[in-house]
Amino acid sequence: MQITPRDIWNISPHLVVAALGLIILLIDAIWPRISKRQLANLALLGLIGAGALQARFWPRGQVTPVLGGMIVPDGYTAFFNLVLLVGAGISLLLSTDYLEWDGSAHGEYHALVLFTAFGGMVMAAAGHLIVVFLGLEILSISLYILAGYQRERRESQEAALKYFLLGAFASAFFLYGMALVYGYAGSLDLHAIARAAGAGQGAAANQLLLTGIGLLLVGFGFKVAVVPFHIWTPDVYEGAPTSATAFMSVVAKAAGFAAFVRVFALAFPGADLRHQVGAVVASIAMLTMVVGNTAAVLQTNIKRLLAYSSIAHAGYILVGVVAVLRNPAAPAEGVSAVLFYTLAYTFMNLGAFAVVLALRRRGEELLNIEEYAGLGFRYPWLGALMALFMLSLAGMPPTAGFFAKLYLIRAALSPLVGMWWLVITLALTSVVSFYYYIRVVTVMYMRPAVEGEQAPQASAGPHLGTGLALAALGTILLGLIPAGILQAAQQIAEGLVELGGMALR
Amino acid sequence: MNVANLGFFLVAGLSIVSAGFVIFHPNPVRSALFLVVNFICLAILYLTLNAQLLAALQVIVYAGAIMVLFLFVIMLLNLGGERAREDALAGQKFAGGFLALVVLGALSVGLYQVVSAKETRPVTDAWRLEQMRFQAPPGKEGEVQIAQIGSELFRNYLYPFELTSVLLLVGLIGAVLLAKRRLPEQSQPEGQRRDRP
Repeated sequence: MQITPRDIWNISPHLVVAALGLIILLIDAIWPRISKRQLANLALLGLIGAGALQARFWPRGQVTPVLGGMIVPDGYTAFFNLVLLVGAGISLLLSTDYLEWDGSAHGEYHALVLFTAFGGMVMAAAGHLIVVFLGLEILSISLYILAGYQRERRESQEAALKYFLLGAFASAFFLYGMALVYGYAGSLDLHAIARAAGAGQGAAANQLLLTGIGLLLVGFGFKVAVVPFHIWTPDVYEGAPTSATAFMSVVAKAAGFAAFVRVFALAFPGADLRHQVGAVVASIAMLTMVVGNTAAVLQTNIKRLLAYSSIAHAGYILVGVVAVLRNPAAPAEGVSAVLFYTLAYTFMNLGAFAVVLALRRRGEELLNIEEYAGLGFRYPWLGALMALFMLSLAGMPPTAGFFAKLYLIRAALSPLVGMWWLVITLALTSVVSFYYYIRVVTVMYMRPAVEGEQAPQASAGPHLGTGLALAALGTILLGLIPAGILQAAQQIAEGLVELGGMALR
Repeated sequence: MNVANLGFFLVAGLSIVSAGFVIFHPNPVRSALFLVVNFICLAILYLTLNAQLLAALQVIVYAGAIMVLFLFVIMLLNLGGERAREDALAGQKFAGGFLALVVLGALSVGLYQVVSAKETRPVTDAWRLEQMRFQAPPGKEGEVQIAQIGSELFRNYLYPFELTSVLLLVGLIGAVLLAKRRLPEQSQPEGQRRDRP
C-alpha cells in the first residue's frame, strides 16, 4: 500500500483536528499566560476549518476505502464527523465561562476536547475493527481525563475513577469480541468479515461469530450507555465538570452509534444473522427505554436527570438500529433515522446543558431542579430556551426531537421489522418522559421563587450565548425544516447500504 | 490427545491460574510476579503458533520492561510518604537538547537513505517484501517474521500505528494533568466558585 496525496486529502479533517490539539498543547506550554479564551477561539477556528474540509464529502463522499481499507471517506463518515465537529464546537463555546468561573481553565481542556473529537471522527470513518478500537480508546481515555478534570473535587475524582475502571473493562470486552470475530473471519477488515460471514454457511449458528458479536455489542453498549451497561452514567455525569458532561453526553453517543451502526450494518450481512442480532438489540432497546425513563422520573438533580434522559435517548436510537438490522429490504431507512436523531440529540442536549451551565447561586452551580422555581420569569430568555430544549427532548412538535422520533418510528414500523411492541414501548416511554421534562418547565414557570432565599443568577458571556443560540437554532430549524437534512441523511444511508452490497461482491 | 495438545492445555491452564492469582493475591508485588508467569505462558503459546518474534517481544517488552515499571510503581506506593527530590539533573536541558539533535540526525540519515534507495531500485524492494509476505518458505518463518511484521506495521497498518501514538499522547496528558502537583498560584487563576479551597 502506498500513501498518496489523495489519501491524505481524504483524511484531512481528522488530521486538522489532531494537529490542532497538538498546536494548542504547544502554545499553552510555550506561553502559559495566554488567555484560555484565545485558545478556545483558536480551537473553534480549527474546528470550522475541519468542518469546511469535511463538507467537501457531503453528502456522497467516496465509497472506496483508503489507507489500505482502514478509513472509508464516504458520506456517512462526513455526516457523523460534522455532527462531532458541531458537538465539539458548541461544547467549547459552553465551557469557557464555566472553566473561568471554576478556576480550572487550562489549555489541556481544549486539547482534550479536540482529541476526543478526533477519536470519535476516527471511529465514524473506520473500515477496520482495529481503527474502530483505537478511535474508541482515544475518545474514551480523553473522556476519563475530562471527567476527572476538577482534581480538587471528590465527585470529579470519583467520576473519573468509575468511568475509567468500567470503561477499561468494557474495552476488554470489545477487544475479546474483536479477537473472536477475527478467529471466525480471519480478518478485521469490515468487508472481509462481511465476505466471510456472508459466504459461510450457518453463520447465524456459529458460536464463535455470535459470541464475538455479543462481546462487540457489550463494548458499544457501554460507550453509548444502554441498559444493562449504563450503571456508570448517572454518577459520571453528575461528578464530571458540567461542561465536560455536556460534551461527553453528545460526542460519546454520536461516535459510539456511528461505529456501532457501521460495523453492524456492514460486517454481518446474512439475513438470519441480522434477524437474530436484531432481536437481541431490540430487547436491549426496550430495557433501555423503560429503565432510563422510569429512573429519570425519580431524579432531583438536573445533571442526573439529563444522564437518565441520555440513557433513554440511546434506547430510542437503538430502535433505529433494530430497524437497520431487521429490515433487509430497506435498511437505509433505519440508518437515516439514526443519523437524523443523532444530529437532533446533539443540538437539544447541548442546549439543555448550556442553560444549566449559565445558572449559579451563592457561588455554586444550580443543580437541584427545585431551585429553578421562578426562573422562567426572572430570566425570560433562558427560561424560554430551557422550555424549548425540554420539549424537544420530550419530542413535542414542531421541535427537532419530534421529527427525530417520528422518523425512528416510521423506520421501525415497517412490517418486515416485525417489532410493533418495540414501537409501542417507544411511544409509551416517551409519554413517561413528558412527565419529567415538563416538570422542569413547570417548576420554572408555575412555582414562585422561595422567599428569603438568595435568587439564582444567570450569566451568559459571548461564548456561552453563542453556544446557546446555536443549539437553539439547530433545535428549531431541524423542527421547522427537517426535509433538507432528512433527504441528505437518506442519500448517505443509501451510500452506506451500497457499500455493504459492494462488500459482498 | 497428542503431546502438542497436552502441552497447550498445560500452558493454557497455567496461564489462567496465574491470571487468577494476579487478581486475587492480596500482596500487589506477588500479583505482579504472577503476571510475569502469565506473560511467559502467553509467550510459550505464541511459540507453539510459530510466532517466534512475538514470543520474544512478549518476554522482552511485557515480562521484562513493563513489569519492571509495574514493580517500581508498586514499591514506590508501598513506601508511602513522598521524598523530596532535589533537582539533581541540572544539566538535563543540555543533555535533552543534545539527544534531540542526535535523534534528529539519525532520523534524517535514515530518511535520506530510504529516499535515495527508492530512487535507484523502487521495484525490487517492494517486490522482495511482497515475496516475503506471500511465499515464506516453510520452516524458515522465523527469518522473515521481522520483515513481515515491519512491512505490515508500516504499510497496511500505518494509520492505526499513528493512531496509537495519539492514544499514548492522550494517556500522557492525562497522567500529567491528573497526577501533577498543585500548580503555583499565579498560573492558576482563582475562580469564583465557592467549594474551592
